[in-house]
Amino acid sequence: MYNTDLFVELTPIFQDIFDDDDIIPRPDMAAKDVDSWDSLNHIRLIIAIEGHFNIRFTTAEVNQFQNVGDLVATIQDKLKS
Amino acid sequence: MNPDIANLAPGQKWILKFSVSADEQEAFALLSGDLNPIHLNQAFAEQAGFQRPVVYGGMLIAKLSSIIGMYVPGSRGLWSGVKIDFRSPLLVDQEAKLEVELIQFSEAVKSYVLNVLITCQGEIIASGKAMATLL
Repeated sequence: MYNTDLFVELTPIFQDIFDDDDIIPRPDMAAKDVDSWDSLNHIRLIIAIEGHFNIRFTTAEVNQFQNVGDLVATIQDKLKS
Repeated sequence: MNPDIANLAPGQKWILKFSVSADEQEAFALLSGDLNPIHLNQAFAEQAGFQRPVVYGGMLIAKLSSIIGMYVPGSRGLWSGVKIDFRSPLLVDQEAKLEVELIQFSEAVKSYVLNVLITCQGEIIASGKAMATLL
């Protein structure tokens, strides 16, 4: 079960990284759904999230993200520990 | 320069003191194609209210390139992003200081985030952030 507050907290980050004030992250959202979600913006997104939540992902974790839901689930886990 | 990137850590700073000469401005003009006389012509600069020609913003970015390319992360990486605000003009031959601080390294995406600050006699000339990614 996702902490919906995290999607709210991620919204301005997504909007800033992808330069789209209308973008609202949702669990099934993936890179293919966002025009400007290229490899560079993916790097920027991960860095912004790490900085915002003061967490660190591993390369393996990032490589396994299939969608924003996977990303949020990992954020949740890291915030709990 | 191929620094040991294992020794790079948040909090590290690099400082470069520099000034830009009229000759360097002319070289940049040839390189960039920007022949705006505000950067090249003393009389034009004075008419515009400056004591001397204004240093190209691109020249300030070039100074940042020397830090990223030589030190953080040096030859092991590529400059992948920059967002700089030019807050106050730097004039030709004015002494300036570039300070670059490593503020974040993401192991997951092998990228460094740098704070960038250029000052002249305590006044902020330019500020922003840059990102470099390991190859």
